[in-house]
Amino acid sequence: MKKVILSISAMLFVGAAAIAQGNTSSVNQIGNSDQGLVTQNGSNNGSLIDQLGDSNKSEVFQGIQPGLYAAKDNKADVKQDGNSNGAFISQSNQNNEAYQTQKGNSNKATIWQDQIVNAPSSTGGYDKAWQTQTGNNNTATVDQGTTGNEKPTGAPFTPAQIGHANGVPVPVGPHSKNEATQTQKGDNNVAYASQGGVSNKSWQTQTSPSGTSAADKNTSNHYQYGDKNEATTVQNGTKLTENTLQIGNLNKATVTQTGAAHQSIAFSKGNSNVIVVTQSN
Amino acid sequence: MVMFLLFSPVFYAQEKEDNSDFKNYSSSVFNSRQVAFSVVSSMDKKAQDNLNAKIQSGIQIQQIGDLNKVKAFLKSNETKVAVNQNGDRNELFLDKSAKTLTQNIVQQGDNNKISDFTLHTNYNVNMEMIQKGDNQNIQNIGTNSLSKNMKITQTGNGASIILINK
Repeated sequence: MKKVILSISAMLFVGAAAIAQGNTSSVNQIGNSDQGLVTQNGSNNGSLIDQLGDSNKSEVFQGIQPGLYAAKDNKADVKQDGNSNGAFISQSNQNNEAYQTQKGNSNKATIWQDQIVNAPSSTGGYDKAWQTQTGNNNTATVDQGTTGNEKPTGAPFTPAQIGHANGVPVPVGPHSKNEATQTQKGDNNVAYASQGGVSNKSWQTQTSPSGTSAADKNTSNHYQYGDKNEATTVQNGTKLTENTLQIGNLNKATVTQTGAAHQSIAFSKGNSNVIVVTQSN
Repeated sequence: MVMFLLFSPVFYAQEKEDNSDFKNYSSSVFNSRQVAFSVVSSMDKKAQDNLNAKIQSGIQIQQIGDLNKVKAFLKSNETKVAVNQNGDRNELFLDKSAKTLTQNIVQQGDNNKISDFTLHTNYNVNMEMIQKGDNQNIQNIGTNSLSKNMKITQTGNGASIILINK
């Protein structure tokens, strides 16, 4: 997918490694093929993994040698409860936080937050991301990075829009205060957020208990490149898809979709553009 | 009679100039200032089919420039809306409840505005609104059997049109 390349020769059943001051780690696992791996370098990192049942898996890396061990105040909190869950957190320098909570069925959750350019002294600090998933085949990924944020590569965006995204310089400057909160309930939802820049915000909420079929899952994607962009999506219903791509500064997109079979593609390139879409039936 | 004769060449010249401006348009002309054209027409079946083919699905909004705004509140069983704003400070307000809705909106230039509001209609709406230039303005209120397949085109600078469909 991207960024920090890690070489782990052997996946430990439970592994924890910490170097330098103040790191804490706590892993609790009960039942089935659980795996947990925590590696922490640097200052006051903390990590907590709590896994219960089925084929759970979790990996937390915080501050993997950018500038050799000035990994700052990262936190990570992972809770998983049942079925084939997997969770992954990788945080590099400065004050990142990330929590992931998953319950039931084949959930996945991934968070990347890194500020590696010229690490550690020149990075801006503070990424935040929490993801909460309850039930069914949900996937949620947050990607707040400086060294190769994933970009949209095709549909539903047009070739011209993809061209604009490809024109965004990567890596962008080490960012600060990016936030992403993703909350999903029920039936095969997908949410993805990718943010490069400073002070971007992205919230995605998908709630569809028994409202959508697995074949036509609700989907919400946010791609933001620049400073102080904000994307908010709330979806509740059946067969809802939403894609937001914002390039520039101070752009804002708010999409609310309820009911069935709605689609929205919001693209802004420039500064201070606003998109508000509300759909129902 | 003398007065008529004296002024008739002037009238003729004016009429000729207006006709030459709009000779390419077959539809109604609401605003005939030389610097701005406003054309309101009704789309025939072929044009409606072309519009439906052009807009694939859902809502597609593209804004390139600064300080553009789109606010769309839509309630429909099938919605296909494409919005393309290219320039600065363009604004679209779209609030519609229809049986089905297919609409294309283009604003190219600066300071253009469209406000299109329908509380509720049971028509299948096919509509196109195009503004190219600066400081254009369209206000469309309501939808009826005449306006449900309407196309509005404004070019130039400073054209403004208000439609109230009862």
